[in-house]
Amino acid sequence: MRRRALDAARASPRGGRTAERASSRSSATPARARARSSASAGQVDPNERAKFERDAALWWNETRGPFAALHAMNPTRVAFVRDAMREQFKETLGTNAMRDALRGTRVLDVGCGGGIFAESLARLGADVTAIDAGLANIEIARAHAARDPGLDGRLRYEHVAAEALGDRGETFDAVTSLEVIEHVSDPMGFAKSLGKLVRPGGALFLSTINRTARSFAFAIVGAERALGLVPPGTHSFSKFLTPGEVALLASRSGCEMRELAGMVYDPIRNTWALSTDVQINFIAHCVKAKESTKKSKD
Amino acid sequence: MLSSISRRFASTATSGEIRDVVIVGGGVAGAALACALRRNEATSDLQVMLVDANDSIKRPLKDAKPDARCVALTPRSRSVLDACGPRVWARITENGRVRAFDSMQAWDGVGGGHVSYAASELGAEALGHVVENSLILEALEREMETLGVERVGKASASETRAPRESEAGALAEAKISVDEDGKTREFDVRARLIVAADGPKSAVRKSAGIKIAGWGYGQRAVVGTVRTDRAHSTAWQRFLPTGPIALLPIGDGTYSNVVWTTTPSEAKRLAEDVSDEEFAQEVHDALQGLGAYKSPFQENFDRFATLRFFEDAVNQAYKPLVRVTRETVSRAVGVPVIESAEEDTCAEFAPRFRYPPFVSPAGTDTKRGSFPLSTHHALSLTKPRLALIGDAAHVVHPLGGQGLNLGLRDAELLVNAIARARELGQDIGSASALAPYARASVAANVPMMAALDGLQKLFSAETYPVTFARSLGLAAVNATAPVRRKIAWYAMGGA
Ligand SMILES: Cc1cc2nc3c(=O)[nH]c(=O)nc-3n(C[C@H](O)[C@H](O)[C@H](O)COP(=O)(O)OP(=O)(O)OC[C@H]3O[C@@H](n4cnc5c(N)ncnc54)[C@H](O)[C@@H]3O)c2cc1C
Repeated sequence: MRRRALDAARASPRGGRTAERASSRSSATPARARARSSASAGQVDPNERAKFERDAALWWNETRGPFAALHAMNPTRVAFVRDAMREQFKETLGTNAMRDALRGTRVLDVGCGGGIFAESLARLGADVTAIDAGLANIEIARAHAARDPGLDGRLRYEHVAAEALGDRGETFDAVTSLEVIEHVSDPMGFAKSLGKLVRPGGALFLSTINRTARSFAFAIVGAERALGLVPPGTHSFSKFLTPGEVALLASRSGCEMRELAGMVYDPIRNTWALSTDVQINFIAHCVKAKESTKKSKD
Repeated sequence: MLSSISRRFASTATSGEIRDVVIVGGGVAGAALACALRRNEATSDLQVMLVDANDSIKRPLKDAKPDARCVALTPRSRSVLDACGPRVWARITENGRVRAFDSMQAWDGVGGGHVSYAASELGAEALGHVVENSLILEALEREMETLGVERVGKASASETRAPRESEAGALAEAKISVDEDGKTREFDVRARLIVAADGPKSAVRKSAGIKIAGWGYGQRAVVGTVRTDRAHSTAWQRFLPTGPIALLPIGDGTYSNVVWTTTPSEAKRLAEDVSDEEFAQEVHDALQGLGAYKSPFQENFDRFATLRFFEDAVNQAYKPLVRVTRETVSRAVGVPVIESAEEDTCAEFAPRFRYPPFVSPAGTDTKRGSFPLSTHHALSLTKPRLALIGDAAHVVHPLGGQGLNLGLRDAELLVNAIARARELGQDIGSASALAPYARASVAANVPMMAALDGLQKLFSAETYPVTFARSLGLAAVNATAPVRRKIAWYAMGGA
C-alpha cells in the first residue's frame, strides 16, 4: 500500500513534467519534425499536444491537480541548477548572495510549460528566455509572470521552437530543458539544437526519467494505470532515457556531462531530494567546451 | 512582449503600493518576525510593513513594579530574539528587570508527589527568563525602527483578500485604516505575503475563512504581581483541583509573577474583588496548602506530610513499582532506560521537595487581570499569500508558559521558510514556499498542545485512584533523571 503510494508519487511528478515537456517538445524539437510530418510549431505529435493543452489552465495550481507533483519537485531542480551554475561560473557569480545567485547570467529554458522553473531562475536574478511549443502554455506563463511586477524585465516568454531560435544565432550561458527530452520524437536532433544554443564554456541541463524496471513500475504502471495520477499515455516507456544515453546525446551536441544526480520523492513530506539514486528521475549538468569551434569531443 | 492576455491581467490589479510582507498585528510574534526578516541575509531586502491597533509603546518606567503580563522565555526563544538584533536582549535586560530561573518544581496539591528539575541537569545555566511582555515588545519596536520596518500604528487591516484560485500568482490586497486624530485614513496595499499575527481572535484568519478547532476549559487565568520573603530563582507550580497556580521570579527575585488558573467566578473574585493584601494572602495559602487550599489528605497531617509520604514510598516500599513505572514513562517519553548502579539507586537521589517562599503584597497599586483559557489550532496555517503565526494560529493552555514561546518559534520557522524560498527562487507567498513553515510549525506545536492539554486534564481529576496514580507517577518521574532531563529539555524549547 505504502509502496504503491510511493511509486505513484514518484511517477506523478512526471505527469506534471510530462506536460511541461510535451509543450516544450512541441516547440523545441525540430528534430522531431523530421520524424513526423508535423505542424510548423515543431515535431510534437498533435494529439499529445492537445492532451497537454487541456491541462494548461491547471498549471499554477500548486497543491492539487496534474502539476502539483511538478511544483513539489521544482525546488530540487532549482537547487541543482543553481549550485551547478555557481560552481561552473564562480569567477562571475562567486560574490552574489544566494538569493541572487544567478544575477549576471542569461539562461534559456526550453519547454518551459507554465513557467514554473523559468520564474524561479528569474527570481534568482538570471535574465531568462523561456520558450515552449504550446501557445496556450506561453500565454499562461506570461499571464502568471505579469501578476508579479518584481519579475518585470527579467523573464521573456516566446512561442518558438528551439531550432528556430538557434537559427537566429543567439547563445546563452546556460540552457535548461527539464522533463522534456523523453517526449520528443528525435532526441538526438533535439539535443543538438540545444547544444547549439549554449555558448562555448556554457552549461546544458537535462532531466528525464531513466528506463529501468523501477521507473516502469512507478511512472507507467503506478502513476498512469493503477492510480491514474497522470493521464494514461502521458509517458511512453520506450522514450525514457538512461543516464548513459543522455551523456551520449549531450556529447554529440558538444557538451560533456559533468555531474549527474537522482531526484527522489519523499511521499510523507511531499518533498523531493537530490540523491545518488538515478533509477527513476535524474538531472544532468553538461558543459560545452570553451573553444567556440565545433565540438570535437565525440 | 506581453501578450494581450497578460496585459489584461497586469492592468486589473493596479491599486495599492506593493510591500513584500505585510504583518497584521504587532504583538511579540509579529514584531519578532518583522525584525528577523530584516536581519536574515536571504530576506533582508524585503520591504516589510507592520500594522498594529496600538501606537508604539513607551519604555516602561525604571522603578515601576513589574507588570503583571510576564512570560517565561525559553533559551530557544532567547536565541530567536538574538536573531532579531544583537542589541535586543541587552535592551530587555539593561534595567535588571529580568530574572533567570534555574530550577522548576511542580507538585500535586491533592494527592502529593512532585517533580523537580534544574538547568544544571542539562548543563545549562538557566531554564529560562521571566520577562515582562512590554519589555520584549519595546525592545523589538526600537529594533524595527533601526531596521527600517514600516510600522503603521493605531491602524487595522480592515479587509484582506487573498487571490482566488483562478488568478494564481496575483498579489494579496489589504485595506488599511489608520486613525489619525479621530479621522480615519484608508489606503490599499498589495503584498506578496500577508502574515496574520493579530492574536487569538485574529480578524485576518476569519476573513480568510480559516476555521479553528479546539475547546475552552471553562477556566480563566488570573495574573498579578507579589513579593516573596526571599529572592528565589525557581518556577513553582502547584496543581490545585481548580487549576494550577504558578509563581515565577522576576526583577531581583523578590518580586514574583503569579499566573493562577481557576474557575471563572474565582478568577473574577481574585482579579477584581479582593484587595492586594488579600490576593497575596490567598496566593500564599494556595502555594503552602493552607486554609481553603489544604489538600484533602492533609487534614490530619503536617502541611507537607503527603508529599513526604510519597517520597518515602518511592524510596522504600514502592521502589519496584517505581522502577516499572519509570521504565514505562521512559519509553513513553522516548528516553533510553539506563540500567546502571546510579539509575538503580537514583530514587534515593531524587530531588527532595522544597518549600516555596512566603508571599506578601507587592504594593498597593499592582494591576491584576484575568484571561479566558482555551486551546485551539487553526485548521490550516497557510493559504496562498497568507501565513498565520502566534496566537492567531494556535492558543495553548498557559500552564506550561509556552504560548509566546511558540509564537516566537513560528516567527523563526516562517523566516526560515521565506529565506529558503528566496534562495530557491520561489514566490515567497506561494503555497510551495509556505508549506515547509506549516509542516514545521505543526510539528512543533501539536505535541506541545497535546501535552499541556493532557496535563490539564490529569491534574483536574480529584478521584482517589487518579490522584494516587498521579502522585506515584510524579514520584517516579522525579526519581528518573533521564526523564526529568527530557522534560526540562522540552520545557526549554528543545534548545
Ligand atoms: C494569563 C496568560 C498568561 C500567559 N503566560 C505565558 C507565559 O508564561 N509564557 C508564554 O510563552 N506565553 C504565555 N501566555 C501566552 C502569550 O501571552 C501569548 O501566546 C502571546 O502574547 C501571543 O503573542 P502574539 O504576538 O501571537 O499575539 P498578541 O500578543 O495577542 O498580539 C496581537 C497584536 O495584534 C494586534 N491586533 C489585533 N487585531 C488587529 C487588527 N485587526 N489590526 C491590527 N492589529 C491588530 C493587537 O493590538 C496586538 O498587538 C500567557 C497568556 C495568558 C492569557
